[in-house]
Amino acid sequence: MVKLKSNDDKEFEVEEAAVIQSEMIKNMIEDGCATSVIPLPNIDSKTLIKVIEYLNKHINMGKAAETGEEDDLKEFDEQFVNMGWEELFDVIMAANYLNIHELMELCCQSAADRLKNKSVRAVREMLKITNDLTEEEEQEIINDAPWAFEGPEIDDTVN
Amino acid sequence: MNELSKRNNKCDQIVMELSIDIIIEILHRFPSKSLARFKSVSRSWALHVSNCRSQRFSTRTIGFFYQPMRTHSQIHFLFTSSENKVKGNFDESVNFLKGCHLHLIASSIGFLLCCEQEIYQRHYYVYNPATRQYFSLPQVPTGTKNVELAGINVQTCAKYVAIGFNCKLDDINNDVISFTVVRYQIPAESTVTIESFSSQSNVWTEITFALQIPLVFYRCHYHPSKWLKSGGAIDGVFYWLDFSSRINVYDSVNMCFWSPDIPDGLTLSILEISWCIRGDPMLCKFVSRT
Repeated sequence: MVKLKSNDDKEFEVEEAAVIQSEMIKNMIEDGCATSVIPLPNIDSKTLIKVIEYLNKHINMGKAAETGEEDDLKEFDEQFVNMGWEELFDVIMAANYLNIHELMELCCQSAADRLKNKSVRAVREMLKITNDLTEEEEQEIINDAPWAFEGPEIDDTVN
Repeated sequence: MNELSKRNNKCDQIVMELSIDIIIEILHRFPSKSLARFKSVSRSWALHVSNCRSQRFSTRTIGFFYQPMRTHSQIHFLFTSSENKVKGNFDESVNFLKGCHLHLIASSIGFLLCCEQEIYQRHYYVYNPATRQYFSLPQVPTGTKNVELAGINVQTCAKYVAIGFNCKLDDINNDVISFTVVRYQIPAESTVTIESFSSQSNVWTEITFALQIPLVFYRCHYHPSKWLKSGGAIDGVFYWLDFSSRINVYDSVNMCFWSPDIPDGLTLSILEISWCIRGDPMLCKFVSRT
């Protein structure tokens, strides 16, 4: 068992087989730096619970292919990313920090799916990006590929 | 109010922490249209989108096959990217039928359609140059039309054909593909016979369409076979541009053939888009008509 501590001082026990899906923790264990509690100053307990849920489910991923549990895992993944926008970003950042490749893949794909049909205005708002292009520069980009800015799929809502 | 401002603060903080690495991870997952649009999100996005697009191009295209137009010319491969050499035993000269001369006819997602004959094409092969696996298609059945060849009356298939070749990857890990080949005789007259082959049924089928507007082919002193080799395919619909400024369309799903009207003043241009490009410069450059 490995103990993880969130930035709001809550401790969680996770099986080693589950936690080593995190490259970062795996390296710590191999280097002998994980003898007591591993503090995770960037991750709050709510996000850490989600990440641990994922790690526990994916613990036997190699076996899943043999036992035909792939569909079950796929369904879990679909349900897993069905979370709020901010929550999703918390998990992406945690996955990035802990270096959990599969989780990163899953969440980034979900973020891309939610953003891909958004209008430029909606993307800026959802990611809180300030537009620093001049009006002329922006118009030039639009003139370069006007087809990219037209279409029934483009969605201006923010959610 | 307090709750709301707290929430907003948290949100700002989240996004500020969103490192550029994560943004790039997400950009890589966008389809091309979204990427083109999101270039206008901000200055840094414009830069990352450009990098992402050039990476996409260089990782997906490693080069192309070419074959000079003289008969029995060797097929060669030109690498356009030095970093992405294909692993394993990539066959740069398409030499799977040891010593037998082949013609490159068309290509789709890295698979080649080759034929032993250049005119009166009958025997096609689908070839994966990366694994050197090939599939030999059954011969195209001879048509009912009698043609005089070297003084002898023979039953034969079309002399010059417009070809469409479309591959679909069914299993990415094991290179399992399904494919469709469609072809019709050129120049076409008042009827068009589409011969199509699907890897799923493994037979050639023939469907004849009466044309409401006869197809007029651009007259030039070049051999017609040099001009209209292969068409492009999108979602099972094949497109050929003919040189009378018309697009000929065959929908292999609903099995219909037609030529849509082109709006007045539209410029059509053709570029040999497929992976294999014939060695003739006439086919490698843009041909535009107004």
